[in-house]
Amino acid sequence: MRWLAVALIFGATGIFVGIKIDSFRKGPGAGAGGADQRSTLDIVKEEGRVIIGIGQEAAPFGYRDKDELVGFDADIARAVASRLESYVGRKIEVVFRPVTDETRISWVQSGEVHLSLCHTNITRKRLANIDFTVPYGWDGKGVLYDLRKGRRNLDDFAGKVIGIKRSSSSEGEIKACFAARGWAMPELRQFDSHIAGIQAVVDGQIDGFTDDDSIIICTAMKAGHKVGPGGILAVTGTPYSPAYFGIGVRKNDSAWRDVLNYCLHDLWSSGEYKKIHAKWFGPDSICPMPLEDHQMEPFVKG
Amino acid sequence: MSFMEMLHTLLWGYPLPSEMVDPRYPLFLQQLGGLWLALTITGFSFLFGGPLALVLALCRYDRHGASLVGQPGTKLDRRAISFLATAVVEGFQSIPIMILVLMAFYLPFRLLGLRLPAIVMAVAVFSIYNGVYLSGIIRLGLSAVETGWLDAARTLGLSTWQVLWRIRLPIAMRAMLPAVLGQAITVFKDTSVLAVVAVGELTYTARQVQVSQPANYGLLLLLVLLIYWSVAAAGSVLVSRLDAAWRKRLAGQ
Repeated sequence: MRWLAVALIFGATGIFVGIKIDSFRKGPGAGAGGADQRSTLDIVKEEGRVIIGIGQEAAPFGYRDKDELVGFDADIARAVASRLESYVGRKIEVVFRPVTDETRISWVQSGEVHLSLCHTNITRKRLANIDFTVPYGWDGKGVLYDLRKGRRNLDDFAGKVIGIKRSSSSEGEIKACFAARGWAMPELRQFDSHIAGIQAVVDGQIDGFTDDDSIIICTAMKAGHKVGPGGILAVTGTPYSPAYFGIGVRKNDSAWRDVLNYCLHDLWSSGEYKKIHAKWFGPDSICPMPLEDHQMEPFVKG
Repeated sequence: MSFMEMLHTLLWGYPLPSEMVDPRYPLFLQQLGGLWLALTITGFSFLFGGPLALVLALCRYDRHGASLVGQPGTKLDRRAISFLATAVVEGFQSIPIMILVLMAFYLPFRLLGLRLPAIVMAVAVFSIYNGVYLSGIIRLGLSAVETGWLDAARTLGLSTWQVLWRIRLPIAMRAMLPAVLGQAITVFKDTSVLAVVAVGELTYTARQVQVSQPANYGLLLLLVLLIYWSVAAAGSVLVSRLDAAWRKRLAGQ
């Protein structure tokens, strides 16, 4: 009897909430809902403020250095926000709202944050729930190796010993990459933390260690091992699992997404983007990752 | 970052940068962090959850006639109320706290357009969570009181409410004390799930410190462990003192 009561009450609530959310899923302008159905651009224009979701738990993207919020994502967010005013046509107050890996997508969906920068890879699965601007950054997986033994490329690690972090996605990805190219399979050795694997490379116990470039480089640099020219460590050039970061925006809200894209275009054409990139990924930064042939040329002509 | 700086950060959280201040809410609602935020949320969850728990416990039908709200046949039918209270308690008890937290930080805005400071939502969700579990403890405590005493009190002419407030609750209180302490420590530890919605309590602060101090990870974990442990230890010392004082007072009378 009591379970009947529970089922009745929660079932009714669930159906009600479900219908509300369903009407919202269809995006701005479809059906009624509690949250605002207008374009985020109109909301920002009316409220005179923009709420930016930002990650605080990953260096060098967004983290705390003493009392300041610093990082590549944070600087891009500030630069984009400073250019928003000219497109929205009024003074905009900026509020940063911390998001985590669990909330960076869902809070964009609900409108809790107007845009989110949390080193979010643009994937098809995520595109089913939110939309992304043009990429503002990229990452990929390379192999960290000892530069004292000479420069190496990915194919030099065929049949060698490569360290990976336990239960990371690198295991499947590097195997698939080597199999696709017909190279001899490397022997994979698991480590509990990035720093343990990096130390093993420095000590010569393994030939290389692999994970996201930004993570391994940043962890190695923070542990005091310089990566890149002039250091003892380096990362192979072409990533085997490239990924692009985009700014997350609500689905089917092209008015708002366009404005953010224009802001990113402006950053690129004015050279501000390169300055920010050099600050976080330049040769003397905490995460030296060259721009190489990455292009972010905006399609603004015509 | 020195040891003392790390400890200070864990106790107080990172200071709020001006960019993160939402000018629509009072500043003190946004500034708290670290251990103190975890303790504040626990404290408020008892302040708001306690009364909720008492109401829920009293509403629930008890074979020994514990239910005091509503009488059969009157407008407030006792069985219907008990039915509802049971549904609320058992319904919420069957939802993991992580899901409750994710819902609390998502649904109010999505359904009603309600944008609230994080600490308000955290206190709300932990008050409900705490209240639901606390109601079970109160219910058991109330039924632990011997019926003979209650009959005696009633014979003396005390009303139903007087029996509850003067006799039943004070006696039940002592029986409930250890269980309530256990509940308090559980709630305090569970505030760590707020890290998934970026509420800057102890666990989230530790995650932030770890990013800027990867080399000191071991020390950081040890510090966090010690902080959680010392709060639990302090709580249990407090309760045993309280219990001893109570015993003394009773013996003195």
